[in-house]
Amino acid sequence: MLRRYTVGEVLRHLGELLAHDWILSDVWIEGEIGSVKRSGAGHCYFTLRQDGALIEAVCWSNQLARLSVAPRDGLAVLAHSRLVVYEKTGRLQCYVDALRPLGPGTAAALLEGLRARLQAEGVFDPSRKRPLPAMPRRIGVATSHQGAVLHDITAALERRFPPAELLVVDCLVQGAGAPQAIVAALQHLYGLAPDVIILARGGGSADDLAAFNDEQVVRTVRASPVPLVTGIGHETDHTLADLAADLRGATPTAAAEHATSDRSALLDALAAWQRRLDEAIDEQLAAHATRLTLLYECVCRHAPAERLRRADDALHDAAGRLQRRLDAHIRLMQAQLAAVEARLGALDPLAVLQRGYAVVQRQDDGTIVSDAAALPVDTPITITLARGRRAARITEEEP
Amino acid sequence: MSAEPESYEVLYARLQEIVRHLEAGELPLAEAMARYEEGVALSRRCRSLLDAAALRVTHIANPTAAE
Repeated sequence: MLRRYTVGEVLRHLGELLAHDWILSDVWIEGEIGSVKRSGAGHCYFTLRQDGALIEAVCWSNQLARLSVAPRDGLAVLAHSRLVVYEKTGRLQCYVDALRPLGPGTAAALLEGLRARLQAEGVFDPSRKRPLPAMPRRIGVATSHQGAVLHDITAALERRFPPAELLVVDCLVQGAGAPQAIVAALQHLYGLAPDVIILARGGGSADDLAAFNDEQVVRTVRASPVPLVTGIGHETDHTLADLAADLRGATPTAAAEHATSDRSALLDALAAWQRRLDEAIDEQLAAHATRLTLLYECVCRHAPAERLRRADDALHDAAGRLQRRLDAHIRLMQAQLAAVEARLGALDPLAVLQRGYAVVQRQDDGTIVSDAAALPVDTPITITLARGRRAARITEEEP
Repeated sequence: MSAEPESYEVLYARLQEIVRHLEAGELPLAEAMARYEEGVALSRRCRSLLDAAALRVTHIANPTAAE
């Protein structure tokens, strides 16, 4: 009869073997730290990797503070450990109580090398980045159907721009098959020619995001025929795919927001153009109304009544001009008359008498005498002066 | 994907063009009215595109998933 063992018994037996193994109970393991996570209780979980092999590691919170260096992704270390089996999962773990750094990890160095090479090729060139369309109607999404990412994206789109159509291609976003799945998903989307593509993944450790640093993935992102926006991990995560994309959204939600316009903003802008349209037609109509008024006034000027009135005015003007001309003529005649009168005045005998001359008349016949021979002695005469007359008689012929 | 529906951008750009044309200077009355009516129709179509039904989501299998 075979002896049966329970799972627990097997694992406990394995644990015993490990605890008593002189290597595995006290060993310096060389590897690169990855997938660092802190638990709520302050314990630190991470992985140690080297050349494609991986082991899970834990550093308890009471040991953590004593480490010479804090575990962080990409750090190459010698980790002092003892190996145990965690019964609940049956997984092998190493409990780490000391770390010695060995310089930058190989994965980090490789990543930096790839980054530099792609940079030199111009894959990350800002001038190659295209603006996202203002209002995409068909939005391609490459992400995992599992997890909250797809929900985050659809929630953002429903909030901002419900009229869109979403084409979602499911793909692995972590693990060995992820790069190939991401490339296939993107290329499938390229064939559907959406207006914009979102490549998204939720938060995770650097190891979880490794697929987005894969050279083939990065090159496929850059080769997108339509604008592509990434939303990979959290704000602090930067992958090479982010650098190659036309735009990096800090999170999947941010990527969805970048990829669409805000419907309410579009409605506001549309309303503003509607107002301008109404104002423009009002202006046009006002201009036509003004012109109509001018035309009406022009027609009125040519109406018969208006023409009669204007003829009447012209007649008035002519009569006035005639009257003025007549008045001027009369004034001229009066002036000429005055001049003649003045000249006549100069010939008046009385005017001569004024200067002291006198007129002598014979009394018998009243003739005016200008020759002394006509006046013998004793001839009665009348002497007329400027003022008054006198009767006289000639007394002598020669004074 | 034939019979691509008229794009919002095209309709919106045409609306902007009409408004600018009307604003630029006086047009014959009949033309101005025709432009205005076209502008009103464009803005209604734009609005109806924005008012369209809820987000449509189409799930597409990844070609590598079958492996």
